[in-house]
Amino acid sequence: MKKLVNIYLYTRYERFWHWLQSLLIILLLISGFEIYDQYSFFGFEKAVNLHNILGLSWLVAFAFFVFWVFTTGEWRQYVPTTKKMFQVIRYYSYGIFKGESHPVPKRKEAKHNPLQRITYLSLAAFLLPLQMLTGFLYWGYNSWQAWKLDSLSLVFIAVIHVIGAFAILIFLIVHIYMTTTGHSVFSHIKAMITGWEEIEESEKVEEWEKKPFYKQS
Amino acid sequence: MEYLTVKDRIDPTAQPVALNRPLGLVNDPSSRIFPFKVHGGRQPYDKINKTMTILHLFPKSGDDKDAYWKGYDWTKAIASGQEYAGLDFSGEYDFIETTFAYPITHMVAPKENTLSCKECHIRAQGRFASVSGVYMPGRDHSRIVSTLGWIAVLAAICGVMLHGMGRILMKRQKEEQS
Repeated sequence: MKKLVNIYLYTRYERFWHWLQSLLIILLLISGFEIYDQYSFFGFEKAVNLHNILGLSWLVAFAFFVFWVFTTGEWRQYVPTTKKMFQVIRYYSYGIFKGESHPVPKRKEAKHNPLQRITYLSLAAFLLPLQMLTGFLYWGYNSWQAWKLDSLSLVFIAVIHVIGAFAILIFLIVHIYMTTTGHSVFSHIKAMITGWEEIEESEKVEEWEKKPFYKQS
Repeated sequence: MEYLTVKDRIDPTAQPVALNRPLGLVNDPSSRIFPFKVHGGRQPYDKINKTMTILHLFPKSGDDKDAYWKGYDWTKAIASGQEYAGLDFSGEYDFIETTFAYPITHMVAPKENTLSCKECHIRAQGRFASVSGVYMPGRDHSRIVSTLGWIAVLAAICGVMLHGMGRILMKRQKEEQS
């Protein structure tokens, strides 16, 4: 049993952003699926107003996130890699049941394992911006003529927006579950609240896992 | 609005005859949704010429028998009215069902009865059920996306539950062994 140490993994802004975005997304999902006529909760008009305000707020807040990711060097945590990808997939589908230790433990220089990297990158660089873009266009439907977007089809925008919604909902379910795979059920969630994660001390840090110009924030 | 005139030919086999109707297209950017009160009427038309008729209803003086409300004679009332308007009358008339759309300055509903969003933006039979050619949030959806979407969500829930149970079971097994 290796020695356990506390490392400061998540900065204040990072934690704030994480929980703000999750709140926005959860409320967007609830109001969005109500508009999709799946159930009655806020009432259609309230749901629409809520969805609009939250969606636009998310767009603005996301702009801050993009700025932060690039200016602080955080973007390095999202660079995809296939190294140890197989080991990680094997761990989650088999090794975890055998009580094996994680093949890519968390480190300040590398907070995300390869599977997380590709997942979070796909989200931050593709799925979430796509959702925001289609949402913004959907919201601006009555201005399409003025924006010279006459040829755009509402069906097209709406269907992509709904597909994105389902994808995000599925991610949410799996993500929340995956946070329980730390050394204790709540250790990852606790870390995203306090910023400190308890990990096993390790002597060797792989070269490709290091961030050469990582600054303390 | 498109109006039928008293010179237009009507088709008595296609009742009710629309004396006017609102124009507009679902995908015309300057068309608007607007409330109308549709007044249903039953009025005389020229059976031979197949036109609507101008009626002389109110008496101009005490012994004006051509006025319908004085003489109660439709033939006289129609003949008088048509002559006044400079139009022909065949002499034969019949009644026909008509509609006339009043813009909603007439019979405005009380505020408790204003339309809610759900009257149109609903998957079940709403007010817009028969309007095609436009996508409406709440009313329309892609069946494939909905079906596959919810199946995938269900699969994700089942997947994480099974995974979690597996971990719990294996941990218990390990503890029993040690």
